[in-house]
Amino acid sequence: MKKKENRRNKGLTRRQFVMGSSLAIAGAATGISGVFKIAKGVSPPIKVGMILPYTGGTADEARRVETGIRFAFARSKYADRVEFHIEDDRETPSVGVEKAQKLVEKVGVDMLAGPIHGHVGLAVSEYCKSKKKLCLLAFSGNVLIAGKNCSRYTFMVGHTTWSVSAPGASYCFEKFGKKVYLIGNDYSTGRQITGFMAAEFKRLGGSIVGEGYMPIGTAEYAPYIGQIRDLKPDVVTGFLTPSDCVNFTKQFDSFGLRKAGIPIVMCLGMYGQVPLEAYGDSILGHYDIWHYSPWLTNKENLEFKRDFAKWKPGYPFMDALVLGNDVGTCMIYGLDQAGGKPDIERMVDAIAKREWLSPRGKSSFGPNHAIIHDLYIRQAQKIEGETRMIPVKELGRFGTSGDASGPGGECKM
Amino acid sequence: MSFPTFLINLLYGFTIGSILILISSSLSLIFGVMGVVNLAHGSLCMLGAYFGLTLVLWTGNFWLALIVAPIVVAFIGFLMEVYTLRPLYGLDPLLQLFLTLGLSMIVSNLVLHFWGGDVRSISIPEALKGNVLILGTVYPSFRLFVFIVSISLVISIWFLITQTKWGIILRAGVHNMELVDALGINISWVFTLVFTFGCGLSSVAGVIIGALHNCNTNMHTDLLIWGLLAVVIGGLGSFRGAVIGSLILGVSEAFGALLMPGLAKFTIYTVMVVILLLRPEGLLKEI
Amino acid sequence: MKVSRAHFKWFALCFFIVFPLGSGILFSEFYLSLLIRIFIFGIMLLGFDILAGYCGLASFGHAMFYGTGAYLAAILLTHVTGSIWAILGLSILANTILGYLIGFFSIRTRGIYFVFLTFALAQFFYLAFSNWNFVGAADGMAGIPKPNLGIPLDLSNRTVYYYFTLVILVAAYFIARWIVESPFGKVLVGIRQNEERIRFLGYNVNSCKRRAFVYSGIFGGVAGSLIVGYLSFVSPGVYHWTLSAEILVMELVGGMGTLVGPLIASGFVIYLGDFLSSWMAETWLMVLGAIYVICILYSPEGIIGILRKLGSIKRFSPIGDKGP
Repeated sequence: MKKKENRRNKGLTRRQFVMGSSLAIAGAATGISGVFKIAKGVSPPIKVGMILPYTGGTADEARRVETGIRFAFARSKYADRVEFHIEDDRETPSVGVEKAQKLVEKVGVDMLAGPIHGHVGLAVSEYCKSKKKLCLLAFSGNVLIAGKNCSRYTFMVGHTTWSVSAPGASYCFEKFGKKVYLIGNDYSTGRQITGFMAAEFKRLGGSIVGEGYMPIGTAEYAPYIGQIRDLKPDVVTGFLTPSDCVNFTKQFDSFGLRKAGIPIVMCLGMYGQVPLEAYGDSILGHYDIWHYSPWLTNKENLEFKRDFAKWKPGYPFMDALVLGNDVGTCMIYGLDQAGGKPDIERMVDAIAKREWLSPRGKSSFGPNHAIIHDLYIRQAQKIEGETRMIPVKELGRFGTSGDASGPGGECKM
Repeated sequence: MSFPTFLINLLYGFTIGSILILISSSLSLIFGVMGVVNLAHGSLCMLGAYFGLTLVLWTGNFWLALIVAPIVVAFIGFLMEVYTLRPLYGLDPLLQLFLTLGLSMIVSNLVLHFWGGDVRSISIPEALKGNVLILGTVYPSFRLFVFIVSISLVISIWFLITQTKWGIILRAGVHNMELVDALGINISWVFTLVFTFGCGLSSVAGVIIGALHNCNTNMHTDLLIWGLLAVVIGGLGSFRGAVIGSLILGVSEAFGALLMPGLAKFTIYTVMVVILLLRPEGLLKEI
Repeated sequence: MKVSRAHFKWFALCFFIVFPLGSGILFSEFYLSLLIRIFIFGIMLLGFDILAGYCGLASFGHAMFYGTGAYLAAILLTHVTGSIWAILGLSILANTILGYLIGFFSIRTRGIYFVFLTFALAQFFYLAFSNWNFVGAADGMAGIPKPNLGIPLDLSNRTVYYYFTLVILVAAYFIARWIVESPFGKVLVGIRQNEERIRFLGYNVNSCKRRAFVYSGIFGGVAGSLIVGYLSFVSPGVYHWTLSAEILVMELVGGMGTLVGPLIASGFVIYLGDFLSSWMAETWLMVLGAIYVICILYSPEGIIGILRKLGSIKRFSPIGDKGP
């Protein structure tokens, strides 16, 4: 065992070095960053915190939301004063709350751009409610935040699970038929959305011929596809997270069901959240329900795309950028109305009344602080050699009600 | 469930199982020979998938990716074994376990860093894109191809293990490494070879999965867990055991979703617990 | 001057008692929060060290106890009572039973199979709670009411909670010390070194191992209940295997079988994770993994090994060889 002892003796010096130096670096950096903060400029900085899932399946969505927010501020008069503080929520609610604590208490942010995932969003929103800090959710559409868990300090800037699912049901019913197969990942968002679609279909007089629920991260959809093939629904609808959505759609096509004429209608615009090359041709002809398309022809959208391309040329343009941008412009609007100071109470009052023309279209907030937005049915089409989600039907403006019969329960602010 | 559906489910249960064999057999042999449970196995498989993706994007040639990506990952495995695992031989196996855990974190986050978090797919060559008709049901040609390739690889490896000199050394090593050492064979290099080859083999699975399903930055966790489950069921250190364990898991995944939605995973873990309690060596003891 | 172990510990304790006075003034309130989490993990690590460090049973499913303590607290706080004493008491009871059961089954396996079995058992809990709608399934429960002490000291005040967990940590430490210094503790070490020999000496090895599970389970359960009392939130993540892995890593990095080592390591790992994630929101996990790898390659005996050399601190308990 001599080899072991020799190693132990040699290792000790290196051990000291590694442990000691990492502790020292950590301590020094904390100290240095403290000093640095004291030495900063005269005009008080505006601290914007972001809690997003940087290490997980939606990491790139996180980056896009962040980029959208940065873009909004870069174009504003606060560009020099704004400080971004970014944390990773690891797609876990308890980590999201920890980071929110850190950003609010240690860093001192005035406003938070919230998480992407519904359950993390709920936890962070609750925390911001208790600390009276502004929380703007770009993506979290957990319908409870528009209902039972609503908060004066939280704004759902993106959508709610209801507003990007149920209003599209009538289109499916009229265009495709009465028999629907529901598919969803087995967690809050998946269950909420399929629940809403089921309720709407039943109300219209349709029938649910089958349902499939599976954990997030399911790779094999052949069992469900076999079911669908046997049941022969008129349309398949529901919600799947990005990776599962790709798997399902690809396998649906490989088993010939797309050519057999059964359309998939994904809620929550899931066909826009992943670069469409991942689908190949398997997505062509399918639909989704969403409040935006990069191919909308309204003036704001064209300007936005043009300005963004100038700011970051070559950056692949995707939906989440617009959501980040909307969060950013809301913050900027709030700051403007509060006299350029991060006065949370004034900002909240201002944002609640805001009506603006976003690249998405006319946008405003309901009394429960949930967004009211335009809604479209989009279809995947191949144009000029690339796959695009083209709006084929405008459904109107939809919000999410926060009354007792509403999808999220009663909102009492 | 109609009979053709049943047979189709069975067929791709075997398909999934056969891909899993590539992962679990290498995991099993690495344990059998080296005594190391390689927790980085899932991440290395994922690395293979992403290398395959890049190669296909660069060259447009799926076959090239299928051959070159595993070679690249095998080389990385080689470096890992020589520089990080070797110094830990003879020490507490728990340390090796945790070393591989740390390596897994590094590799999976490197993938996230270099390739980004979006879901990607490896495009299937045109020739394999179509469908075949099996018992009057449409079945994707690519799945059939996957099944054939995986089974062929498995058979070749079995041949290697049972018929060649290297195979004999391997089997002897699983039995009793000290004796092999005493016979004058350089076991350090046996270890390195097994580890390297194991990494390469699981990367073949990675490329296939990247094409059949997709490449995403979370895939390593499930790959590792499924691999471990197959190995525990079949028996640590046994190649045949890994084959059987993988096929059992593949078929149960195929049918479980339909017969017992939501309970499929429970069943797998129940099986694992029962086997560990009653017969920890797994179903098979011999390689 | 020789810094003895006792001096070091008293100094650390005084530091932590005085620390909150600077909160809000010298440094942000956030650090109290960080320390609360470190204390809670420390409680769990103390128990885990008894199981893994002293007895040599490196379980990969310790999150089972943490999670059970957490969900029990969540359910009790939401539906039954807010008394922290009742919650801790019930948590201890529940985890005694759980520890015994888990111990009963796990000890039938050895080595790597033990690791797998404990892993699989913890996964059961994870899956079960991920699907149990009563506790919010995969989303967990948010906005859980805060516990109360029964005396006019408000537990929702962070400073109060800080001292509360500190007191429990100190108590836990003394209890753990007492356990490992007792004859039972010596038997555990003996079991780790050579089980056969202990059996021949007439001890019921299985019973001792089960007791070790029970003790470590109690510590873990208390920790889980405390974290829910603090965060007012619970999700199936408390059962996740990555948590068990984190616990095991802290144990390894700290130095198995030293009690103080894993305690320090828990602080180190949590602080480092928090620190790294601000600087490198995207790559911090990679850096953490690299640090683990480097630590394992160069310091298998962990932080205690370094401290031993640094201050010529007397050895507390003989770790000895790892046995055949």
